[in-house]
Amino acid sequence: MNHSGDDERLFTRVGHAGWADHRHFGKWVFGELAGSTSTTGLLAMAATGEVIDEDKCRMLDDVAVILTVADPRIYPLKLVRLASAYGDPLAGQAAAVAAMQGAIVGPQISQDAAFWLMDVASELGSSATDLMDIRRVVMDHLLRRGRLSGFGVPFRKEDERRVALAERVCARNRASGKYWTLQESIAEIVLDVRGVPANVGLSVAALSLDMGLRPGNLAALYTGLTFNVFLANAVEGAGQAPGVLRNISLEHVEYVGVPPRKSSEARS
Amino acid sequence: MRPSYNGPVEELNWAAKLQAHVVTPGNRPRIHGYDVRGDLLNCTSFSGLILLTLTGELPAPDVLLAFEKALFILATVSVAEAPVHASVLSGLCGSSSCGMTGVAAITLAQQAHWIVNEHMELFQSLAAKAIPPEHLFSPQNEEEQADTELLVCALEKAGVKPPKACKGLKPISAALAVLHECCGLTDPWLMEAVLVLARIPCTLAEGRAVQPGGFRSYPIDLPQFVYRDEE
Repeated sequence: MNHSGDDERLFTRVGHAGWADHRHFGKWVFGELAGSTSTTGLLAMAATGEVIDEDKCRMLDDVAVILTVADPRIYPLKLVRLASAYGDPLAGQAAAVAAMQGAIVGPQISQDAAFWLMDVASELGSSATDLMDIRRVVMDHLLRRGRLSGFGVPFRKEDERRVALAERVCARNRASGKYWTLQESIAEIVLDVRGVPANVGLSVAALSLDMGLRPGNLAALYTGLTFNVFLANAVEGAGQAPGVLRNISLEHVEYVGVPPRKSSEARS
Repeated sequence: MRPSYNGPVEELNWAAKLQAHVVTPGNRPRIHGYDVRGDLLNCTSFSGLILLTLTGELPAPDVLLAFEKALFILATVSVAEAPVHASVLSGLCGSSSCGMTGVAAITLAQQAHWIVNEHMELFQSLAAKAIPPEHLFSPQNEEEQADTELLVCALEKAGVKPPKACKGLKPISAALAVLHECCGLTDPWLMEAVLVLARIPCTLAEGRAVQPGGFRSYPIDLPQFVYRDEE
């Protein structure tokens, strides 16, 4: 307690450092988690605070693999390369995470889409499988919001990751989930009405909700699960530390700003 | 030789050049059109250069004075605040200069965003020429009141008319009101950038003052964390 009588203690479930073993979300690290918990399990526990069963962890593995589009020319990954270009991969990783805050690309899309799917499902209530009702609610959202999270596939006709994930979801017998079937219907409606295809963010959101994950945890979860993409670019980028990236040749740069001018002092 | 893999990057049309909007690349750089070394070096201060860079225009003399006075108030950030505390921990861990600067910049940016968001109501009332809500931005004690008066005094001494609302505000709110009213920095993005720039020196200096590895000198359980197995 401080002098005002306020409780200044902070409560945590994340961890306690002991002498011989350590606690982590209610488990002994050496005694209970070691030998039985995968990296995915640890990451999922970190983002959700809950133990995720192995079946769900394997599904999350599939998501992480499918989201592995590691081409260093893609904007956030180019950013990683630039921050790593002075030789330290940690700088690239730090920059990657910072750049994802509030970004219009990356895992935030799944989180936003999950909240939106929950809104739609809540409005539909018991008629979540009635295509006419779904169409009515989606049309209403399109009118009110204009742009929907989880839609739009830049530079290509469909999101190949969405197709690949759908295959893995079927293979793992998860295609009958409430949110999965709902997002499939919604995707068809939006494509029909607006001509805008759904992206993998919508699929990931639906799958996650069907797995019982909380929408508010999804950006953190998938940032963690797809960190391999940043890591790979940071490590290779730092190893190369390429001069050509540290300083782009000026022939490839054009100035489009204010034309030359003089201060009033220089003019006089 | 390029490998034979094809994808959107290979098959679609893209811009050929990287565009610069603020600084001309190469020798004799210009910022927003002004020759930095051949012109500005002799006719403005570093603060003027910052304002030009952020706003696109060279500030009038009274704007520059107001900006510099506000920076004095905004610059001080102590170890009690998260950015400096984080910088100190970074120093304790022996982070490199890059690591510490990165930590400082990230945490300061978070703090700046928080502060500016907290002050949105103040900015709205300033824009509407209304009286700011007292409970949120008024001085918490006599020392704060006195500090705000020092800012007002310094502005008046420099020939700058402080915003009317200034006197009833706590120092940081008064400084932000000066940026808003006297310097025309009404864009929250600009306000956040100025806060980060102003606070970087204190944040880094405090972190650098720490002995790397001096772990026992740091109050590890401040504030107190209590571990619980269940939520």
